[in-house]
Amino acid sequence: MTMARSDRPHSLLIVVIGVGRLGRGLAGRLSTAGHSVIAVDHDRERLERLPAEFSGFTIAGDAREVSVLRAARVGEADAVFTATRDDNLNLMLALMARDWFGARDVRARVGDSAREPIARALGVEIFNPNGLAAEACIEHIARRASA
Amino acid sequence: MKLQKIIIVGEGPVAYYLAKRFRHRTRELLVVTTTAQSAREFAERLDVPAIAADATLPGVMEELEMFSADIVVALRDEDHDNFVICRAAQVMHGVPRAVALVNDPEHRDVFARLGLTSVVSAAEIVGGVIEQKSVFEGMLSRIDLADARVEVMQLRIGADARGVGHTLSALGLPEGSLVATIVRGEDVLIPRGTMTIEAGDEILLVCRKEAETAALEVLLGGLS
Repeated sequence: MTMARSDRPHSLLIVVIGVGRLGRGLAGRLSTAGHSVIAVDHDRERLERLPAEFSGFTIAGDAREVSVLRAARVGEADAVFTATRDDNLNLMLALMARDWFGARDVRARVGDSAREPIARALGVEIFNPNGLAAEACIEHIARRASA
Repeated sequence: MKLQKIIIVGEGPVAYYLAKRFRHRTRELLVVTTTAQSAREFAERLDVPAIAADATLPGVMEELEMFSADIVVALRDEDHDNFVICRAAQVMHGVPRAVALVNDPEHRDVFARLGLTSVVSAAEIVGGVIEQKSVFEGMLSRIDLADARVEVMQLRIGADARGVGHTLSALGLPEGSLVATIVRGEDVLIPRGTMTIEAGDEILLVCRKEAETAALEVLLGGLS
């Protein structure tokens, strides 16, 4: 991994926790972009379904356990994405990565915008796939309307 | 002192008995369950106000008027749900005490680092009792005297206890400990230094708190 990183000056070590539909694409594309990616999921089958272009490491385990997060090297990672389907779990994992392991750059998937105030109160950076998709549509319409 | 308001989130047996215990000891008790069925059960069986809602949602927390609670107890099945409930209660609603139940005992230290200090782990409590039990295998009862500075313990000497076959004087009981009585079958023996300890003896041990561990080690062994 160290070699791969020195080969590519902009290659980062990135941990993706949860490889459902969102995490799978994220891990695959980050890997294609030349980053060292560690994918974590408790479900082995989901790890096996990672796209062919994914060339990183996989860890089968429950990320709620400290030992699993340690094995995934979240403390050393340049970025950590918590991308399971459970918003509350993503928030907790993000805080564990940041405050227990000292991860520098952590982002949690929060799919339900109603939960965003909690993330803000706890100081967790989030990304909302549904919100981002809606924004893309709105931008498209705005361009059409002003054309 | 009568508490003002407790919110209990969860519907398992712990939530039930906690609600039962506090329903008359607090001005206001509110139970938040995940299903309407269990909310009805709380209302019917305990006559406690209960609603079905996802207490991890900010809108629900506002409806519950969480800001007015003295204590929030989160007893849901998942550690991360209890974490979110308690941290949001503290940070967003200024609740003075937020208690979380966790499955993973390691989460106690982790959550403390993340700002949550009242964390209860059932596995840790039960585990502690089991370990203590095996360490003090053979202790039938104990009484604390003089503000727990002196202990009186009733011990059963098992076949593999360390003291078996040794005379009292050869045991090397620590300073501040005394074998007061040996019950052997029907006999009650007043100990002398030349008496040999036998398997099946019941011993009444009196000792100072600081001599307890060493005295038990000498008589029962297997303490580490």
